[in-house]
Amino acid sequence: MQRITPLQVYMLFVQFLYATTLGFYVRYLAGEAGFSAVYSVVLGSMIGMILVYLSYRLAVRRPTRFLGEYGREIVGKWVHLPLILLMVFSFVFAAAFVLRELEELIAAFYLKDTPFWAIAALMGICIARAVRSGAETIFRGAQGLFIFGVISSLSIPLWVSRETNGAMAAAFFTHFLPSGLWNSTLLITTLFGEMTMLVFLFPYFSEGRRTMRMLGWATVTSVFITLSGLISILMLFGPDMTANLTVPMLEMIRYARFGSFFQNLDPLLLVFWLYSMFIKISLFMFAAVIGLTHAFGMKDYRPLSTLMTASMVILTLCMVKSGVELDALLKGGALAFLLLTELIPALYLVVDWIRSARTA
Amino acid sequence: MMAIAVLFVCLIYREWRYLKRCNRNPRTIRRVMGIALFLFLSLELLYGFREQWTISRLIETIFGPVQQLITAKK
Repeated sequence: MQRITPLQVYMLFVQFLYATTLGFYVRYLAGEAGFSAVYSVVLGSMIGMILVYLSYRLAVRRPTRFLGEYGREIVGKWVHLPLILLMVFSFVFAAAFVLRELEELIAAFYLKDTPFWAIAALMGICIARAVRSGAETIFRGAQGLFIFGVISSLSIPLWVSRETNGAMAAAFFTHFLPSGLWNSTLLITTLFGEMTMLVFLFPYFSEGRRTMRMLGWATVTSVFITLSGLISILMLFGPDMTANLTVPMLEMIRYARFGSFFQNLDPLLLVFWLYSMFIKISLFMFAAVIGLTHAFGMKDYRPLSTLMTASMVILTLCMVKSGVELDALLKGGALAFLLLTELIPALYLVVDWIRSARTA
Repeated sequence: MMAIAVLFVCLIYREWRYLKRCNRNPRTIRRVMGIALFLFLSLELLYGFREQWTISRLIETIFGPVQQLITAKK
C-alpha cells in the first residue's frame, strides 16, 4: 500500500483522459458543437474537476481507508450497498463501452474477418492480467509508455499542419452553437469526471495530499493534447466531415505524409494509443473489483479480478446489437447514467459533512 | 452460451483453488462463489436474450428521460 507516487498518478491520468476523448468522441464533439467543441473541452474539464475535487475531499478525510469500507459508517449499510453496487456497475459499464468501441475499431481496420469474440478474448486476457496484478502495476505500466504516447499524440498534428486549411481558424472565434456547446460540455464533464474513481484508489497513493495538484496538472496536460488533436482535425476535415468519419483521429494519422520511409507508421502510433486505452480499461476494472470486494467485507481483491473482467468482456459482446447502437446509447442515456454515478462521492461527502457538523 | 459456462467453470475452479491454498475462511469462499454464480447467471440471461433485450435498453429506459432533461435541443 501507499506505493504509487504523485508522478505516476499524473502520468496515468493524462493518458486516462486524452486517449478516449481524442480516440472516440471527436466525432460526437464535432457533430454536436462544430467549431465550438474547442470551448467545450475547456469548460467540461473545469466542471469535471469540480466533481473530482469533491471526490478528493471525501477521500482525504480518511486517507488510509477505502470507500467500500467506511461508506457504511457515513450513510448506513442499506444505503451504502446499493450506491457502491451502482458505482461498480458504472465502472464495468464504462470499461465495457470503451472496450466495445476499441473492438469495433480493430475489427473494422486491422483484424478484418476475425471473429469478434476472438478480439474480445485477446484483449480480455491482457486486461485480466493487469487487474490481477494490482494498482501498482497498472500505474507503473502507465509510466512506461507515457513519453512515447504523449509525443506521438502531439506529433501527429505537427505532421498534418501543412495540409490544414488556415482560413478555417477564424471560425473558432465566429461560429458559436450554444446548444451544441452545452451538450458537448456535458460529454467532456462526464469523461473528465470519471477521475472521481480516485476515491477507491486513494489508500494506494504515497502522498495523498499532493494528488489533487497532480490531477490538476494531468487535466491541463490532457486538455492541451486533446485541443491540439481536435483543432487539427477540425481544420483538416471541417466539422461536417469530421462528424461523419468513423475515427477522425485515425483518418488524420493516415493523412499525415511521413515520407517514403515512414509510409506505414500508423500502426506504430496506434500501439501507443491502444496501450493508453488498455490502461484506462484496466483502471476502471480495478476500481470496480476493489469496490465490490470491500462492499462485501472482503480484503483480497484477486479472487474477483478475473471473474469480473470475464463478465465485462462478455458484456461488451451483448451490451448492444451493433456498433451503431453505441452512438445512440451515448445520446440516449449513458451520459446521464455516468454523470449521476460520478456525483455519488459528492453525496457521501455532503452526508459526512452534515453528520460531523452535528456531532461536533 | 456453452462457452460462457465452460469459461466460468474454469475460472470458478481456479479461484476456489486459490482461496483454499491461501487458507481463506469459509465465509470469504462462500461470498466469492456467490458473486461468481450471480455473475454467471446474469451473463447467461443477458447473452440468451441479447436479440430481444440488451443492458443498453435498461439504461436508456431509466436514464434516457434524465438525459433528455439535461441536454439542450438544437
